[in-house]
Amino acid sequence: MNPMIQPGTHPDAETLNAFAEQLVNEREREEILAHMADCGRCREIVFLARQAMDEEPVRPIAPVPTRKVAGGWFRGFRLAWIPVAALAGIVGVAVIRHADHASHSETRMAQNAPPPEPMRSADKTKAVSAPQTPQSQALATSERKAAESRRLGQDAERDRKVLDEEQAVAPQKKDEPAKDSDSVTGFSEKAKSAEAYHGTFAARANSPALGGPLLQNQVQQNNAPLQQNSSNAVRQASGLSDSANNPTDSVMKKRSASQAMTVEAGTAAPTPASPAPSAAPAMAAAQMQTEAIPLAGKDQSMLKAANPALPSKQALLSQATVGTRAVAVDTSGSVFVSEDAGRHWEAVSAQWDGRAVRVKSQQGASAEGGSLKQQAPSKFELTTDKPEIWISDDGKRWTREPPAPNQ
Amino acid sequence: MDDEASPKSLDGPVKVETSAVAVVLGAALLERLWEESGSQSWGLARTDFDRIILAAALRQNFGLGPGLVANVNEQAAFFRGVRLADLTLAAACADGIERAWEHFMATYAAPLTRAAIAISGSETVGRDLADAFYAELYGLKTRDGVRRCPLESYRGRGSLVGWLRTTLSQRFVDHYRRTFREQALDDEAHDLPAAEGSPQLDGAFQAKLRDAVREAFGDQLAEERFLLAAYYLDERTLAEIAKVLNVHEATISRRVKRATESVRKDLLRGLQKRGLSRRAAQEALGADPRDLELGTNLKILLQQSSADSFSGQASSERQTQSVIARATGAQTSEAGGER
Repeated sequence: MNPMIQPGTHPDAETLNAFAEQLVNEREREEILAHMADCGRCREIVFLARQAMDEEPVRPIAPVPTRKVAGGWFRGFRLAWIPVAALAGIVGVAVIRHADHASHSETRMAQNAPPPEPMRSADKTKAVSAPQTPQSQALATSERKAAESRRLGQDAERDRKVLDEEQAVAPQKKDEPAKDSDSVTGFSEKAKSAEAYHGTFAARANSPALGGPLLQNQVQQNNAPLQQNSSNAVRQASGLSDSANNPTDSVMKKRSASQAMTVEAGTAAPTPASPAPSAAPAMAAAQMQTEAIPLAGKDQSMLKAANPALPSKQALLSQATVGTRAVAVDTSGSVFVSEDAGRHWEAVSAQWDGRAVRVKSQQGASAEGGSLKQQAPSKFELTTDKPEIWISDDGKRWTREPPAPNQ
Repeated sequence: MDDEASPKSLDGPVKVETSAVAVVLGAALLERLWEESGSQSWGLARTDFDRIILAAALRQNFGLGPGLVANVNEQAAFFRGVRLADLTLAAACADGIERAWEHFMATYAAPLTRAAIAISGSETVGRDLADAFYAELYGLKTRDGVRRCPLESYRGRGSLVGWLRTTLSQRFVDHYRRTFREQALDDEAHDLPAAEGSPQLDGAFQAKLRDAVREAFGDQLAEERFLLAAYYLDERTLAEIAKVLNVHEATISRRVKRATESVRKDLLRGLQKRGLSRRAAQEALGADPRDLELGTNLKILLQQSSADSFSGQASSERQTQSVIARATGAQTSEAGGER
């Protein structure tokens, strides 16, 4: 310490303390500094007071009630944002790549499918587009409805044509349209089968007597942005010939499977059983998917059981079963019969002209009180390429069914 | 202290006294101050509070100049600018209220003792210093037969504990100054030989150098001069200076260096202006400042028998010469020589 202190008036303790605690204004600070520049005493006092202040132990600060929620784990979370962000990025890239792969698969399937109707594609494009303004949404809704009505009209027209052809082939099936649309898989109709199914569905959708309101509602639901729902509804609609009033998933799957069995059996170049994409971009693609529904596990074994090794070594074209007796038609038109549920087959001599193209079991129907009551199948019905219908009880002896009066 | 009278003072006949204070300060302001002071927690009576707070405010005239009368807004502004709780406690202690002293000792006894030990650098000296300070605070000293308590001078501007530390430092420095004359001077300090090669100063040269030094330091800002004095004279560290000025010590380092260079340039320029060549001016900077200080310091000490005003004090030539010695690279310092 420098004891040579300048005499004179010094700032009082209040002022020096205010200076040490930074409580003085600028002018007063300059005055105090000017004094202390020349006054060793006041400098000494200020430095000693400051030294004493530093020696004072820090008072324990009362613990501030901290929020447990924003406590340690959140601090750790903030530190861990980098790996979390990296993980999110990896997941995002994987999702994008998966989506690209899925859309590529859908594109391939759509290329195999019949060319979709333009309005339908535009419909779907709108359905999956980004959120729109209320005005544009209303406009899009009205356009969708108009397009849907036009599409349903076209489908109904196409359906009528198919039904006419059906009636020309099998006039006796007028009273059982549900089964007809379920089994239209002949060679000549193969190319039109998908549209025919859809047309049948559309005709039923327009018909109040055949579950029309429900189906119309489902058609409208098909326009929803969720493509999964759309695909399901279309799949349901495609196979919805006799279960329009009860469109359950299980029914849809069964029907889709049966269709796939028929289609694949009748297709010279079978479609690979690729995974069906969950999101079908267009109605046609969804329709194609319906026909190429993959059969996994149990369904594959069912297909093998239903596709027996015939003595002709040809592929199975059509098969029907009544009890343990089964009749099968191969791709060459030969007919075989089995009495042990398909384990052993024997050829049936042709009793008809032309080539057999389809066989099915025929159910008897009796009218009771104005309502149809189905009975168990008891006969086989064979269709040739003439076309002629032949009926048999045992699959071996066939009698020709007389043609319908209006044919 | 009349503890029992305080509740009655609000409603009873004694209310006249409170009302008299309320006339000056306003009842609403008084009530708010009473609530904010927290003095009821340590047992201060409301009547005592009204009285001592008014006396404390009037001692400072509500922060206004002499002769001015504060209105209600100025009164409220004054109380907003002071540490009301500390001011109330200090005023109550100065008033001799026992409860206030109990609270004061309970709160500040330990910090004061620690501060005294830190200031003195010795526990024994520190405790003695603290005990003497307690006695002074308690008003054992009288002036003209009137008990004087230093706490009366506390105005609530800074914290009370800070004021106590500063006052304690004052007492310690003053005590050191008083006892310094009784101590034997360090013989070595006064028998130090002059630095080798330092020019012998004649009277005319000394005058030129003194004037140049005064001019060079006069051009510096107050804060720069404080920095130079604290760093070169008091030998304070950069960290100590930085704490006092509340800046980073790197800033202090840069400013000290800049101020030193500035003083050196101004000094050379001043010497050249007074007829010295540049070489002679540079040689003059190497002069032993002790050769320069004796005449001037003695003269200053003799001339400054009366105190200067606080803001108009003349600079100490001795200090500036010491700073010169440091700034120009002289090996010996004035302070060291005196010690």
